[in-house]
Order: sequence, then C-alpha cells, then structure tokens
Amino acid sequence: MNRRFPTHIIVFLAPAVVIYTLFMIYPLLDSIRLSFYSLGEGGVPYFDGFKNYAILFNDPNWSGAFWNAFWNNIILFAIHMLVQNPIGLLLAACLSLPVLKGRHLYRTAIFLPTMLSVVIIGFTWQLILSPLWGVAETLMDFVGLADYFEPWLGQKSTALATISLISVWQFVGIPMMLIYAALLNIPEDLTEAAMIDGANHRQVFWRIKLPLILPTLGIVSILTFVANFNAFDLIYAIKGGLAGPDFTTDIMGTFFYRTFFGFQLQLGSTTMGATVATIMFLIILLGVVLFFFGVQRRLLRHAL
Amino acid sequence: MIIKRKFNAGAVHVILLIYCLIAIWPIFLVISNSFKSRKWIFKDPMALPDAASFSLVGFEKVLSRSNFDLYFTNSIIVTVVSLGVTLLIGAMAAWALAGYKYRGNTLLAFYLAIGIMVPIRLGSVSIMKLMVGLGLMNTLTALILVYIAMSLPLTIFILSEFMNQIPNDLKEAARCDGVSEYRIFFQIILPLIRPAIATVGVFTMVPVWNDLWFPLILAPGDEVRTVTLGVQGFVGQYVTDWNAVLSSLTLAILPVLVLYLIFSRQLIRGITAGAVK
Amino acid sequence: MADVKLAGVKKSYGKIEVVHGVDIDISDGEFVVFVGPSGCGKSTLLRMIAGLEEISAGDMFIGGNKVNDVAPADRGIAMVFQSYALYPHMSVYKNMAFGLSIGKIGKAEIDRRVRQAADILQLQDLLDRRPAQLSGGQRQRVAIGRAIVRDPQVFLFDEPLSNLDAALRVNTRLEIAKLHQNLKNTVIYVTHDQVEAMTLADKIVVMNEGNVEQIGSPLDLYHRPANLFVAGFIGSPQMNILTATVTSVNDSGFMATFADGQTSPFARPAHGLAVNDALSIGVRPEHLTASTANDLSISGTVDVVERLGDVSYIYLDLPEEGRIIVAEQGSADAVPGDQRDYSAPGKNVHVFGPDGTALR
Repeated sequence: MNRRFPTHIIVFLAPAVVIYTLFMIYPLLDSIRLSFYSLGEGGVPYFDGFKNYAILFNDPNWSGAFWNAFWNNIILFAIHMLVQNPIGLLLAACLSLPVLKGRHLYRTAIFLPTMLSVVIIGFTWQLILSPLWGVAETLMDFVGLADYFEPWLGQKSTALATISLISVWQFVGIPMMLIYAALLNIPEDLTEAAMIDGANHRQVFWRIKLPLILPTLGIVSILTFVANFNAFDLIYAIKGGLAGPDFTTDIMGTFFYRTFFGFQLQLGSTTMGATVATIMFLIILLGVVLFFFGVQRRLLRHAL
Repeated sequence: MIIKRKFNAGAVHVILLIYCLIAIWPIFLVISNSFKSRKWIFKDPMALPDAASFSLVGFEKVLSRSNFDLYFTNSIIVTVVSLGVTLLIGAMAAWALAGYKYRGNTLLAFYLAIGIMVPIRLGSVSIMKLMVGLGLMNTLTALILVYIAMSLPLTIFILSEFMNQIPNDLKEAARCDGVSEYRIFFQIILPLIRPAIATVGVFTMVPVWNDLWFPLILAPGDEVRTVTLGVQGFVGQYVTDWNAVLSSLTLAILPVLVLYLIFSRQLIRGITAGAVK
Repeated sequence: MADVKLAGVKKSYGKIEVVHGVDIDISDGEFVVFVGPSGCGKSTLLRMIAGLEEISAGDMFIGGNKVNDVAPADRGIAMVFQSYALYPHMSVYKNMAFGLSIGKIGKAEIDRRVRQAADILQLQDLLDRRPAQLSGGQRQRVAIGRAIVRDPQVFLFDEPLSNLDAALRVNTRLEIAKLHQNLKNTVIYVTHDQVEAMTLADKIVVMNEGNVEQIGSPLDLYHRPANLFVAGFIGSPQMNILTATVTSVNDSGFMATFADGQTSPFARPAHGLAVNDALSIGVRPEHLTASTANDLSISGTVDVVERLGDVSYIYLDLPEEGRIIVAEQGSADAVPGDQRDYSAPGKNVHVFGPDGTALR
C-alpha cells in the first residue's frame, strides 16, 4: 500500500470516526470540561476549578443526595450480581446439557423480556404488583403466602429491591446467552473424558466447565457493573424523575437526570450535571480498570 | 451416561419450565387483559378473554387519544436509518482496520473500541448543547446521529473480528486482478460479512428501539416522539384508565413480539456467534 | 478377566442403521485393532464399548458382565481420545489424578498411582505443567497416563496417532507396543491406518460401512483376505486386481479367461461357480517377479518407474486390463516404454467370486 497514497483508507474511516468523535467522544470530554465551570450571571459559565466537586461532596444539600444515589446504585449492582448472574448461569448450564429437547423454545421464551422496552416492563410489573389489581396477591394466595403481600413498590424499605428484581427479570437473558455461548465452546471431548473418569453431570459442571468459563463470567460481571451504573430507564419509567418513595430508588442515572434537568424545587444546572456525569464516568472507569488489571489478568483464557 | 442422563433430564426441564413461565406470564397477562372490558380486568384478571369479557375499548381509546401510528413511524425511521447508516460506515471503518496494515492501526482500533464500555449518556449535557447549536433539537435527525455514534463501536468491533477471518488469499487475489479498493470492499467484502449482520442487527436495533433517555432529552415533542417515549407519556397520563394503559402496552409489545418470534432463530444464532469473541 | 464380547451389536441414529450386527470376541490381554476407512463405524463401535453411545440392539460384555446400560465410569475402561481431551486448566498431575479424586480414594494412594504412571511414561518432570505448555507427543503421553492411572480392565484408543507428525508417529507407535508388552492389558485400538494395524495388533477387525469384513491376525489378513475389500485395504501398495470370466467348471477346478484373452486353469474348488461368472483375480505387487516360470503370468508396457532406494515400484500398462503395480527389490532397471513379463506362484494368487468373496 505504499505505492499509492491510501486515500481509500481515509474515505473508509472518515464517516465513522467523524460521527463517533463528534457525538460521543467530544461531548464526553466537553462534559468533563464543563464540570470545572460554574454558571454566573445570565447563565454564562466561568471557570471555577474544583468548586462543583466541592459542592457535590461537602454541601449538605448535595452530598446527601449524591451518596444516597451512590449507595443505592451499589445495592442495585449487588442484587444483580447475586441474583441475575447465578440464575443466568443456572439456566445456561441447563440449556447446554447434551440432547435437551425444546432447547430453542426455552431460549426464545427466556430471552423475550430482554427484547421489550423497559417502559413496557416497568408498567407491566407495576400493574401486576399493584394492590388495586390484586394479581400478585392472588398468586401468592395460591401458594399460601397471601399474608406476605405488601405494596412493595410503594414502600421505602422494599422499593429499591423490588425494582432491582424487576430489572433482573428483564435482563437475565443476556448473561444466560453469553455464558451459554461460552459453554458451547467447550469441546465435547472434555465432558466425555470426565464422564469416563467417573464424574457425574454436577461434578463435570463444577470442576471442568465452570473453571473454563471463568473469563466469560468476568466479562458478564463487568458488563453488569457498567450497565447498572448507567441505569436510568426502568426507575424513571416506574417512579419518574423523583425516584421515590423519598429518593429510596434514586440511583446515579436518575440523580444525574434531575441535576441536569431540574425538578420541582431546583433549577437544572448544566455544570452540576456535568459534574455528576464526570463522577459517574470516573466510577465506571475505575471499575473497568480495576477489573482488567486486577481480575481478568488472573483468569487465564485457556487454549481449548 | 445413559441412565444418568435420563434422570437429570426431568429435573432440568422443570427448572427451565418454571423460569419460562416466570418470563412469559407477565407479558401474557398484559396482552390478554388488554382485550377485556374494564370490569372484567378487575374481576378476573387471570382468565382469558371470552365472549362476555372481550372488548376492544382500550384500543379505541389509545388510538383516538394519541398518535400511536405516528410514534411507530418515528421509531421505525429512527431505528432503520440509524441501523442502515451504522452498518455501512461501520463496515467501511471495520474494513479500514482489518484489511490494511499501517501505523496507528491498533491505536485507532482501540480508540473506536473505547465506546463499547463508556456510556454515551454521560456526555448528554454537551450533546444537548451541540444539538441546540446545530438547530437539531426535537428532530429525528438528532436521535439518529446519536444512535449511530452509540452503535458504531460495537458494530466496528464485531465486523472487524469477522473480517479478520476472511482468508487473506481472497483479498490478495482481488488485488492482483487490479480491482480498485472500493470495488473490493463493495463487491467482495460486504457480501461476505452477511452472517455478521444478524449479530450486529441484534445488538444495535434493540437498544435503539427501546431507548427512553435520548428521546426524552432530545426529542420530547409530540411530532417526533418514539413509541417508547409515547407509551411512557401515555401511561403516565392515563394511569388510572386501565383499559387504555393495557392496550397501549400491548400495542407496544406486539410488533416487537411478532418480529422476535419470526427471527428468533437467526437472532439467537447471531447473539451466540457474537458472544464468542 | 478383562475379555470383551460383542454379540449382534447394532447402532442406529433414528431410522438410519450405521452399525449392522457386529460379533467380536476379544480375549484378556489381546491387542485388537479396529481398522477401516472413514465412516465405517469403527469409532462408533469404540464409543459404544466405552458407553458414550447407546447400543441400539445386541449385547455387550466386559469381563463377563453385561454392560449395555452401565455408565462408562463403571465399565472398567479407560479411553485415550484422538484430541487427548486433557483438562486445560489443570496441571499434568491433576489431569491424571482427576478420575481418582472423584472416587473415594485417599490422597496417598492417588499420589502413588499418579507417580507410578508418570514413571512408566517418563512424565516425572512435567507433572506441574499445564497442557498448553506441552508438545504433542507429551500431551499424548499424559492422555495415556490418565488412562493407566485408572487401572482399567480394557484400554480404548481412538486414533491416538493421527494428530502427530510422521516421525513422532513411529516413535509413539513403538512406545504403545512396549507399553502393552509390559502392562499386558486388553487393548482396543481404532485407526484408519493399516500400517498401525498390522504392526500393533494381535487381532485385526476390518470394518466397512458398518459391517465387519474380516477378523484375524495381521498375517492372516495379509495372506488370506476373505474378500475384495480386505484384500485391497491391507497391504501397501494395494493388491492388483485383474478381471476374468469363468469359461468352464469341473471337479478339480475351473477355467477362466482374462481380459486379454489368455485362459488359465485354476486347481482349486469351484464353490458354486457357473460359466460366465465374473471373477476378480488378485496378486500383490511384491509377489510378482521377473521370471516367467510361475503359474500366473502377465506382460505389459512400463509406464512409470518410482525408485525409493530399497524398493522400486513399476507401473505396468496391461492391454485390456489397465494399470498394475509391481514391487521390485532394489533399483529396477526397467525403463518407461519397455515390454516386460512378470509372474506369480499359484499360492500368491487370490481368486474372488462374483460377490467379492475369496475362493480358497
């Protein structure tokens, strides 16, 4: 390619690089830049150093809300890691067993919720869990647990967990698919050799298959982390921008939205919004970096 | 092997079946009840609509009170156009990365791949300023541009991995024939990556169609509303009108459901193929 | 005792039968090779013996016990896979110890057995390595070691040498032969390579399209192939096949005419042959000599001569018959275009009837 000037490479690259840079990279960098500015007279921003960050962490109006959102997000993440990923693993393990009839039907059915918009999911579950409609209560009555029914979505103590579980319900298909693909990749030979060695299905899974898919489990974890700290849609759909009751379902995404757009008692502030966004970016970046250098390095991808 | 497999099969089917029910039943409930009259929705939510309870009143309300057909059209335009453009320029960029060797190639690939992990939403403040500056607020174009930028990193990654697998012989034979680089791309490479299109399509179309954030921020006006935002607004507005709410949800679900069922095999094949990276 | 018996074993996938009624008896300590072209069913048969495939019909016995429905781990077998199937995330030691660690065997005993197997296979220095760090030959030995450690009644090998390069293949073949001499286990070995079969086996089972064509010792198969398939499969280069038609039959034998018009008497039982039956006459390249004194004589034009140093292959064009091969010791002086005569003694001439079966 030294003979002629590679204009074609530039032509091929240009449109994608331009749009990507203009609408993804530049806004991100600009947001970070904006976080160092404050709004002055008539909304004109002026450079103010770390003032916004100081406000965010020190001003009681802000820091309380921020840390509330942060910890709620951690809880959201924890519930996903503890519920979504093990269920995904279990379902993937079941699906990957040899000669399973109806495999395609199961996959299609379990993946269906992932295809639907979060708005649909949110409202569907709101209706089902609503004490007015009584569907959830009736179902629990079937299994004799009617007394335990509560309007979970409306209660401060249970709202976050409930929404987290709804999110798990919707997205379990993704780790299931990724883990399933990884399990398919393990050569049949290894399972057969293990069976000849005397292992039953459970032993094959825990001692042969699971160690070999650890890299995939790692990827699933970090994807969950990024997705959870970027989450917004479900909570907004069910609870609106205020993330009630009493901010118990407020997470970083909704906190960002409110800061940037404003709500009843407070004007939106682009600079504070940018600050929150930058913090979110740093959190996600930290998580990804820690993951790649701490965890993924040790999970050797074994040549199969 | 023979005996053990038979024993396990029973337990496995039970587990899978239980979860299937958990996954499908809520959706079924919504669809089935949207075809009932109001009193029957409350009286017997679990039953299927029968002659007594069947009613289309919910749908009538939805279609008369809101512009659902407009929202659908908007969603389709945004999704299809952004998918099409993403595929074209994404394939071109992927080819520039995979088909040629030059300095900075790896760095460029890395730069483009960063977007996979970084959520584009974080730059929303500036994106909005940009759109205002370009005069694109409340247009479908704004959404399309943002979605293209959002979908490019993963698309380029998947397509370039795919292109790396095309045997070098093919590329070199074409070059020996003196064919121009553009023709090589359009007539040889593009047809060869058709299988990867399914994978890319899945990872791109679903998040775009279902997105709530950007329509909310960039295109909240009624003429440019997408289905997702439209349903959200409608349900928020008529929250006590159960008929209307259920029907609007069903209207939002059914097209996706139908398409999903038709293409489920290709879809799942696409996902498992893309997941093996 | 570690004998294996297959009685009428069949295998079907849905409606398609791929193994048609196989009967084989294997004695304790025998080295038996299943050989045949791709798709003949030899691997399927091995996997049925291992318990990795269900037996559709018939019975299988290992050590006198019927094992049709017995799990692989309980059959007293160990298998060496073509791809070795070593667990990539475990060290060599753990690979070999895995099967034992599943059972209720104590750590001390596991250690003893693993190290003993490692000694036999020269793996002592590799015990801490992972499979990815081993060469092909070393991985092979670990796979064998994993099998030895189980102390099985029957060793099963599934084309173990096909992933090795030529030189390594010969070495490993010798090692397997010596291992068998030392351990004296029953071995069932599957390969498509007839050289491996001839060199390693006590008994060979030749298979083709799901049927057993012949069972016998290597030399049995070489000198007395039961049909055309076995005759063509065993021996390299392939046996030459000439066509002939029966012209007359009597009590002491029959007469047949070759394609070039030459008629020959055959002093062997006619076994239900009739006039005009088509015969295949077989003679191996190495049994054709340049003298004309023998019973079957042929003459033709030399087409190509290949000289390998110790042996030469002369490709001879016979009128009406096509091309045959003659193997001559040393460096042949034949030149393309020469007219040459060759002959073979009656004992080295094989006659195959219209259905391909040998007539003796």
